[in-house]
Amino acid sequence: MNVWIALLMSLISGLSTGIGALIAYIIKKPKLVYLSFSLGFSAGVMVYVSFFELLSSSIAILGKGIPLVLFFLGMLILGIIDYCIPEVFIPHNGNKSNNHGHEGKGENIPRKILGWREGHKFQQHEAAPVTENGKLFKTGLITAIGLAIHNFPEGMTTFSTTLFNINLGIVIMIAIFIHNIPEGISVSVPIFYATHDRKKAFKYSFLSGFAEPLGALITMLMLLPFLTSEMIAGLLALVAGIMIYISLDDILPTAHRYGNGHIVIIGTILGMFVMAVSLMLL
Amino acid sequence: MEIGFALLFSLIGGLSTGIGSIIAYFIQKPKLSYLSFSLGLSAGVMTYIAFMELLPHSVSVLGEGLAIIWFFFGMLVVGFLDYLFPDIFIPRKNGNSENACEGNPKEIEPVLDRTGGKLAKIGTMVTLGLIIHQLPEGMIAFSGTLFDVNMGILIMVAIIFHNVPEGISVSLPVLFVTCNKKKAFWYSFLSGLAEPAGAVIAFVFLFPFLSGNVIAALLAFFGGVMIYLSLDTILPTARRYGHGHIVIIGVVVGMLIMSISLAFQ
Repeated sequence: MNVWIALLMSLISGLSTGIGALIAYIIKKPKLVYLSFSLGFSAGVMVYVSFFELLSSSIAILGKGIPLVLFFLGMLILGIIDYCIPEVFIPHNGNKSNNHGHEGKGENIPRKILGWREGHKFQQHEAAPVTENGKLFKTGLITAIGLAIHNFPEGMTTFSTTLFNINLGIVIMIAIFIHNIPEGISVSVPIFYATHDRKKAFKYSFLSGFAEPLGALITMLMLLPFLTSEMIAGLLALVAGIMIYISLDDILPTAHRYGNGHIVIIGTILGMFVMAVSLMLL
Repeated sequence: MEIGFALLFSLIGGLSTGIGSIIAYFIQKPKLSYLSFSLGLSAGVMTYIAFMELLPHSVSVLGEGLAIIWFFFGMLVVGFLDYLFPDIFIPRKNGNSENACEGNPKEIEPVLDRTGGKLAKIGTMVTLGLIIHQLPEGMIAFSGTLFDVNMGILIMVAIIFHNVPEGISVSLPVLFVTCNKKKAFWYSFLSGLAEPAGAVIAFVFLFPFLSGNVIAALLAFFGGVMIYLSLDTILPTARRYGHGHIVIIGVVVGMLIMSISLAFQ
């Protein structure tokens, strides 16, 4: 029973990439401050939960050695993924594409979004213009594939946390949900520029989110035969490593790029605080 | 005896800002990726210690509720200080001051145009700001050592790792304004002295009440301070100096070192 709930929750958290795509088109000028705050919040939640609940529960069951090895293994896996498949492929600038005959349609996308993941450097230097739509589309596609691979271990995260404790799983689901929103944006923008097809852009970013429940499903199929409490404890340590890595390497830097540092840290502290209180009440 | 060590460690940790300013002048082109790595390392060490050692110990002595209140209180206090005295007072690079002194390493210049500030005030502001930031760090090293000497050494090393870049970031703007290498060195050196001063303050005010409970509360409090500093100050600075991969490698290696050294304690 729990297994199905766990799968469902990783599905929900994955599909928020679609919400990111929607935000990119529907809202003309999104308040980046909100995103910055909520990213800080989800980083706070994930860091606190990983250390204070997942890793410590794992240590309580398995002793210190194995959980720590798995914890760093989780980080190592993500590090390797990160190194082989960088997440960011936004080669294009809004101004450039407008000059090349994309007027009108292109303006529907807040220009700022294009610079989101690359930060100010991107906007200042204006990366080499890629004029062929084919290249741009490829960019979007590569981003989608990259994100899908990144989403894989995240699906595992929601899945195994839920198996351990449903309430905790819900919280992690929300944190990953928030974090997938900007990822969805970064897939859909280049695809939209290449194809001028909102549906297509939405579809690809939506699909990249599907890797999340897929990750959960594979975890389930591989582990279900051996699903003991020791196994879950080991998974928790692994997942804790994954979450710390994502928070520090991806979520917090993204949050800092979208807003000022005070808002991010307020979000982070609030996230930790909410977790601390809810863990005590659980 | 332990108190002597505690004061010594915070002194050494603080004075490493001087090393930073020496690096800034005598090495013509410091490799910023090293700084980025060492800041990441320091953030990893501090985050790991705070969550895996300080907070759990405090919870085991005081219970979860009280320990967590102290933890967030620590964040709140350092957050408030941060709000009142923003972190790095680096002047905006103005056209007229450009190349005011020869030999400024070019690669450090991007760091310079971060926070706006008036050049005239910069000398005092830098020192004041840094002193405020160093005080709690001195207290961290102090109370960490009281809890456990080995732990104190590790915390001291973490503080050294991030004070070196901090020393660089203090002395550069002062150098920029005054063109006086000695002055810049002294400013950053003096700001490092705030660290043992923090330890002394902690010692004077807390020693009369130093019981197991007080130390446990202090550990949770400074756990909060360390998390705040790592996430809000050290990691963003590390990213400014270098590539994201280098930072995260530093963080993971820092955590790895801590977990191994805590396991063999």
